[in-house]
Amino acid sequence: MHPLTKAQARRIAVRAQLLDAPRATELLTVVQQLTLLQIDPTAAIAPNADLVAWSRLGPAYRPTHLQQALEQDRTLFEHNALVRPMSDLGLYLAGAADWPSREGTRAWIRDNDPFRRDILDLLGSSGPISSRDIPDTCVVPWASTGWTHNRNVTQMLEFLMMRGEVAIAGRVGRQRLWDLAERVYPAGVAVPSVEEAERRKNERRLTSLGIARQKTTAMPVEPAVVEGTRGEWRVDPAALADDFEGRTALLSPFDRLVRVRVKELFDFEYTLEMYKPAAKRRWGTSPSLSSMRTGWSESSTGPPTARPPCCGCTRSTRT
Amino acid sequence: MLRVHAIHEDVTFTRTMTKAVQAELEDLASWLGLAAVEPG
Repeated sequence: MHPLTKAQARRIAVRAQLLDAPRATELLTVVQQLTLLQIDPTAAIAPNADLVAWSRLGPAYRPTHLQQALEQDRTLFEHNALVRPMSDLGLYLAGAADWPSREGTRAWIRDNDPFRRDILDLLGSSGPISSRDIPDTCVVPWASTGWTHNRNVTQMLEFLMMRGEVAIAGRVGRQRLWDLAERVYPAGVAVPSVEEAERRKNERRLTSLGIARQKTTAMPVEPAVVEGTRGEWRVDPAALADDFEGRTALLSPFDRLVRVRVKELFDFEYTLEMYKPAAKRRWGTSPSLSSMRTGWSESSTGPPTARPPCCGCTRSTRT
Repeated sequence: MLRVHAIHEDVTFTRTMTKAVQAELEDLASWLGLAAVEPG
């Protein structure tokens, strides 16, 4: 059992998220460590994936680097609204052929098998193409109480992506370009068993977070307790080194450092309310950036711990 | 331009803290190719 002070736990989390003073220099290194970049259409300042990369890499990072890695080098891939390192692809193809487990979705795919085959044939002859270029030939429309209702083509594409049959080859603006998976993913990817994939995903998750609550029993067993918090944590043993140099960093509102564990470790309540109806918002708005003063945790003259203030920013054209 | 509508300070910022956050905002504006950081 590792007994940790809150300051130690924060440093572990900050360092694991590559937000301490030494900066990474390669986008691929960043995504391999973080395991993912979340793609979100909200972009008051810039797209989340770009802001997260900029926070780690600094001004040397350009959004074209991400596009190049996704579309030319194929060192990264987009999957389920996340950018992941291609070296992790096998973990997400494990069990894909049996996806989904939910019977309602399985039945919809089964009932629409001619539609599925139409899409695969069209991608085979004309891919990569956008969903707008794919005719809706579904037999049974997709029914939902949410925004996906009757969005048959995009639903089928999303499902076929989860099954490893199609993949996102790139983007034109915000439009995804779809193609057969075999033309996007490299050949000969090693696909582990589902159990092994889950074990490795949990291990990778802990490495990226440094310290986390136990999510499953498969999580690597390095228990820790953190002063001022209840229960046990799991800590990446490689993240326990004492040396730490912090810095000030502006973070995207979707940054994992502020989205995960922030209340328990940083004593900071952080809520995104942009997707809530206005009447249900507690704070009325959401920060467009957060500033983590990670360096202050080491300073005898500054506040005793790193805690994030928020900035509300937008970009606009000067008039 | 990068327009800063508000900065919430969880504790009262020291001069050094204010400068560090301001420097980050200026770096961000520069990276975005925006001319300036201006209060909203």
